[in-house]
Amino acid sequence: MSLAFHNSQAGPQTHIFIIGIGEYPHLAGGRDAMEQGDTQLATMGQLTSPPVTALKLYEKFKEFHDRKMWITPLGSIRMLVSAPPAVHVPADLSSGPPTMENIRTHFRDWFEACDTHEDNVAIFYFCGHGLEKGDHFLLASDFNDYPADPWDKMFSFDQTRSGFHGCKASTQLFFDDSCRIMTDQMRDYRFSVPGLRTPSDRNGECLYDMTIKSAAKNRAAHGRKMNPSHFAAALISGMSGQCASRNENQEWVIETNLLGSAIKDIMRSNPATASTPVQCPCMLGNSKAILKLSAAPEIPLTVSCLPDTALAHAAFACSDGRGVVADRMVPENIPWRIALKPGAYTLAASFSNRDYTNSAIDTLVIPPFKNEKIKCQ
Amino acid sequence: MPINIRRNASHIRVTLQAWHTDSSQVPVQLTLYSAETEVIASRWIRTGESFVFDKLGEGRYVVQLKLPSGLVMNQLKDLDDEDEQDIMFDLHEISPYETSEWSYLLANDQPFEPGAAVRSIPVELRVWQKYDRDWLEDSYPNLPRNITVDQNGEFLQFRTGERMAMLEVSGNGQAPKYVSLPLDQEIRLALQLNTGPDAERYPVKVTVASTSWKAEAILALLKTSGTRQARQMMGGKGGETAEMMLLEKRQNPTEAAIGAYYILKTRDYDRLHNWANNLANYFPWMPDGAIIHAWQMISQPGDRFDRDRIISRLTEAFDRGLPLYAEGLRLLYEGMMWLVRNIGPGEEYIAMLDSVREMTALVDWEQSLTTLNMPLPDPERVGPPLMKITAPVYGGDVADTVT
Repeated sequence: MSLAFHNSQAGPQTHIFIIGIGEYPHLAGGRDAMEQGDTQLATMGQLTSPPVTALKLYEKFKEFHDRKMWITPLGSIRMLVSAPPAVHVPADLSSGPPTMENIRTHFRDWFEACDTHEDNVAIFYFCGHGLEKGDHFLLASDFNDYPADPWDKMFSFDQTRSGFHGCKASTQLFFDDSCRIMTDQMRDYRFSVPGLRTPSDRNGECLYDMTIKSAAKNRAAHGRKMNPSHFAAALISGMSGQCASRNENQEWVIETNLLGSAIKDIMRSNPATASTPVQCPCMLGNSKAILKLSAAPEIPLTVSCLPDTALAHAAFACSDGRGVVADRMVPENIPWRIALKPGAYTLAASFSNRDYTNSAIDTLVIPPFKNEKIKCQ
Repeated sequence: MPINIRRNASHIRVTLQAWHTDSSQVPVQLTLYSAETEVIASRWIRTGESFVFDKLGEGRYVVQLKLPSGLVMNQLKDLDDEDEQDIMFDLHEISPYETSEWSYLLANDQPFEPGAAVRSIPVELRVWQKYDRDWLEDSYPNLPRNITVDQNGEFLQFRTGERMAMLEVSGNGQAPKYVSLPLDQEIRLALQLNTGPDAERYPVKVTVASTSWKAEAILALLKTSGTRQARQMMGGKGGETAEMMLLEKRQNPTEAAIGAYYILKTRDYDRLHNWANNLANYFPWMPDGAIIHAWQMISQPGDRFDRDRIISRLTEAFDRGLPLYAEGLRLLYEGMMWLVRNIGPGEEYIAMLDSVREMTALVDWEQSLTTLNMPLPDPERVGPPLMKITAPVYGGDVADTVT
């Protein structure tokens, strides 16, 4: 079975399964669109963001491999991606259309790869249409091929997650990036939708678990057309360094437990996603470092003034113990945004306008980001 | 170590000033960083205490104070050779009132910002206690029925009884919230204006804590950071401390439940002994004990697995009603799925699973104590939902929706 990435070695490895569904042939706008009586289902159509999300995640995960960042070496990336014509998916990356049958088959293979060693790291990412009644249902690309009863071409994320606890891999990360909406007609159905893996009788939970849903109950997931979803963008920023912390050897690492809170913080700091409540576990367990950075990450720093009116007149400088590392000498009426290595800095605002006072503050720039306001009056 | 630091006699003395005795009981983390953010030393202390970072060399240092809520304060110091510097963190600055400091230590990860726009919201408070399978309205001394919450918030103290109880926060057309209350405890309640993404539906944020401050700090850390931070806070003896909390269950069953959840998270099952069983037996009105015992039997390797006993514990937990903690509700849901899988899709068990599922649709997973966010004001409703409700439906967002 062809994989997007394959690097089988002895010992523990990281195995990734990405599903990004943009083309739904039997939904509105699809090449074999079927009429749907459920008016809300009838409005669900083709998506550009999920395949772009899947491709971007692949690119980043591969880049982490090329830069030797995976602490548990990357063993495989499986991808099932479909896209409307506007999005190009390289033929060698996707192992076929993400139909229910293909998803089930590839999930089994991924499970078995992860089940080979208890120190393996398993990562699952789904981006596509989602529905929810009781469980969260993720829609395969052949959803609605039989409009009178379209529900057999979807699977339960929650059952799937529970079932995967039975896998030997002690580190399991599940990212569910889809809407959690119930349509009107779903209220008339009593669903019994299975997951991709039946939970075993003696399933405890895995030792290192991070399961995050990009949307709260009854809420939608978001992304701009032809761009990665907001959730994926935050995840990528976090894994690339914005949720880094130092381990006992002072190395910069990405830990499972910090991913959830960093993603929330990153999304809250973005006006486009500030109102999107990401769902993380209510009680966090053990944490495991999965990536190691070769150098300190770049951390976004935003500097503005108090009062806001001072901003239009402020020249800024940022210095560390050795001297000025960045400045903006020509005032602009927007906050000053720079990226800095983590560390202690002094931020100074100076004015030619006598309405405001030259001021300086000390700050510690650490992940995920820093926002500072300098009092100038 | 960074090259600009030479070890000699310089030191930084750090003092933490809190204004309320509650705050002084909550452990907080002090970390000394180099200017390049390398960790030089880290220590958990209580507010009101001071600590000296000694044997430091010339250079720039950052002292970080991290509260269990996740709120962080930093101060920079430049040290010369054989220098002595003092740093004081004044926790009074983070809170509008002395009596509200605890909520910033345990729950609010942003400091209070004076000067926020003035607005006030009338709120109705009702207490519901569990009698068999019904919620009946009750009252506590010192807990008013009506109160107005402004930008400074309102902070109340009262004592709960031995029964499972929920606090309803509603009024003024807002959708009600129901928050579990720890049993037989001195309670601190914070009502503050909600500035989060769901502020329109729930304009008032509710924070509840018992005065078991160490247990509350463990809960806060499990929510924000996970077991490692909690273990560090307990001086590296997380398992022993949690074990003691569970051992002393007769004195404080809610603290015992927190200890047991910590042990389940760390999978240090031997520390549960037979005490989870006792917790379930001694406090038959508290669902958490039965849930914890069921999960001990499911998860602990060895001969504890007892299929019939697991089934009886899970059904018992369901009969007892909503767990005190959200983690308990999550484990009850997982347990109900286990039940349906193991004893077949009987109507009774499927109905139980469905009921728990409906509760998970209402619960606010951001909170440690079980907190139900009702979707809409409902004048017909009398008291918190029982384990048999119809799933609420309300529209999702429409703009910019992709999936």
